[in-house]
Amino acid sequence: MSEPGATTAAPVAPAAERAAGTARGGVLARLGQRQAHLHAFSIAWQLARLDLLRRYTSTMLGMLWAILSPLCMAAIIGTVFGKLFQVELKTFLPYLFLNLTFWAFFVACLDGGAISFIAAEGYIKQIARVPLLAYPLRMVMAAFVTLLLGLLAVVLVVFLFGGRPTPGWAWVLPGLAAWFFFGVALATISGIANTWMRDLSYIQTVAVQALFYATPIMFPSSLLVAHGLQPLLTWNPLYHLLIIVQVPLLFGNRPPVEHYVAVALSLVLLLGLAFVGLRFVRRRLVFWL
Amino acid sequence: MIELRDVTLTFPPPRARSIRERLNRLRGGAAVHEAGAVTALHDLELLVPPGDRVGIIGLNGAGKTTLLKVMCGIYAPTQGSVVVEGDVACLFELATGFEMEATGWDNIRTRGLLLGLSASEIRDRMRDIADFTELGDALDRPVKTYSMGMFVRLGFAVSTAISPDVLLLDEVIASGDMRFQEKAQRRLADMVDRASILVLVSHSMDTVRQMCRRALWLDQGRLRMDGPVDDVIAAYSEFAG
Repeated sequence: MSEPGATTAAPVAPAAERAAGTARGGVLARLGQRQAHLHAFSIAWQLARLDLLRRYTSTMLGMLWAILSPLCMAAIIGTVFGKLFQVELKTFLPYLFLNLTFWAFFVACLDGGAISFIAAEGYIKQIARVPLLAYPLRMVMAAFVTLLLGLLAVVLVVFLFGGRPTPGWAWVLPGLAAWFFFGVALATISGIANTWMRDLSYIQTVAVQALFYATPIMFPSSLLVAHGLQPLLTWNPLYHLLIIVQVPLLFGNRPPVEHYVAVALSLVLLLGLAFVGLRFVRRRLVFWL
Repeated sequence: MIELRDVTLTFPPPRARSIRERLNRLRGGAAVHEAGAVTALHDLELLVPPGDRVGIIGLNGAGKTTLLKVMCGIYAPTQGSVVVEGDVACLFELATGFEMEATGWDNIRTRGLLLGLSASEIRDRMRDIADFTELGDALDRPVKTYSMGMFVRLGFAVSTAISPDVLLLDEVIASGDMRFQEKAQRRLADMVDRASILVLVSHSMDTVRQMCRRALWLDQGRLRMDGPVDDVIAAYSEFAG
C-alpha cells in the first residue's frame, strides 16, 4: 500500500510523507518544509561559493582563464569551420562562442551532478539530512556563475563584431532562467544515476560527445536542414535552448514562440523526472554511498 | 520526545556498483543478489520522554550507532516509524565532512549551515567557535593541511555551538591533547545541560553512569534490556564479563 518502511501510524500526514519528514528531521526539524528548502538553497550557495573560489584562485590567470579558453576554442574552430561552411567570421565567431559557452555549462552540470552526492558523502552520512537537492544545486550554481562570466565575454565579442545592445537583448533573461532549471534537472538526474551505478560516467561521456556533434554547435543549424536532418533539431532540447539565447544576443530579437514551447515541454519532463527521482532516493541514497 | 515503533533496519545487500558487476550477477542468478542483507535493528520499541538521559550500551556491532543514526534521520527505517520532536543534533565522527580545499573559516561556515544555523547565527558565533578551536592562524589555511587532532577540534567546536532539544552523542571525545579534552568535556557538558534529551552511545560504563539515568542494552540489534542505568550496567557487565 505504501513504500516499505513507511510509518505505520500517521495521524496527520500520509504515511510516506511523515516518514520522509522524520527522515529529513535533523536540526532542520524546527524549520518548516519551505524553510528547510530555503536553507538547502543557502547551503548549496555556500558550497558553490567555495567551489568557485577554489577554481578561480588556484590558477594564476584565475577567472580570466574561464573566459579565455572557450574564446580561444571559438577563434580556432571559427577560422577553420568558417572557411569550410563558407560563412563570414563576423557572424560565425560570436555564434560559435555563445554555443560553446552554453555547452560548457551543460557539461559542467552533467559532470558536476554525477559526483554531487558522492562528494557529499561526509555530509549525508555524518552531519545532517538537508534536502538532497542541495548537492546537485551546488554544482549548478557554480556552473551558472561561470556561465554568466562567459556570457560577459560573449557580449564583448558580439560588441566587437558590431552588435549593439537593443531592448531585444532582454529576451535572453527567460532563456537564462530556462538554462538554469535545465541544469538543475540534469545535475539531479545525473547525480542519482551515477551514485546508483558508478561506471555510468563512461557511457555518459560517450553520449555527451555524440550529442555534441548532433547539436548545431560548431556548425549552423541550416546545415542539418539542408541534409534532411530536421528531426535532429526538432527533438533536441538543446537546439531550442540554444535558439532562445542566440536570437536575443546575436540578433536582438524575440525568439519564435515554438522554441519556448519546446523548451517548456522539455523542462516539465526533465524537472518531473528529477523530482520523482529525488523522492525515490530520499530514503535510499544513503545506502548507495 | 523520541518515539520508535517497531523499528527494523535492514541494510540492503552490497550493491552491484558497476554495470559489469551487475551483468555478472545476472549470470549468477538472483540468489547472489539477495545475499548479504544485514538486519542491524530488530523490532525496536522505544519511548524517550523530554528530560530523559539515556545511555546505549552493547558489544561492538550491536547496532548502537545505527540506532543513533536512525534517531537523527540519517537512516530511514526499513519498517516501523520514528518520530522525533524538537531539533535534533548528532555528534558522530567529527573528523569527516569537510571541504578539504577550503579554509578553516569557510568550513566553520559550511558546517554551521549544515547543522541548521542561519548565516547571521554563524556570524554571531564565529568568534567563539574560532577561539574554542585554538587553531589561530591555521584557520586561514585550507583544512587539507590539518592534522587529525585539528579536524576534531574544528568539527567539535562547530558541532557544539548549537543548542538542540535532542542531543545524540557517539563517543566523540577521543582526540586532542589533555587540556583540550578537559575544555571539550566542559563544553559538551554545557550542551548536554541545555538539551532536553540526551542519548549517548559509549563503551565507558563510567561515562554512561555519570551522564545517564536510564540505559538500553542492545544485543545484535535487539533491545535486551531497558531500565535504570545501574541495573542495566550490572546485567551487561555480568554478561560481557
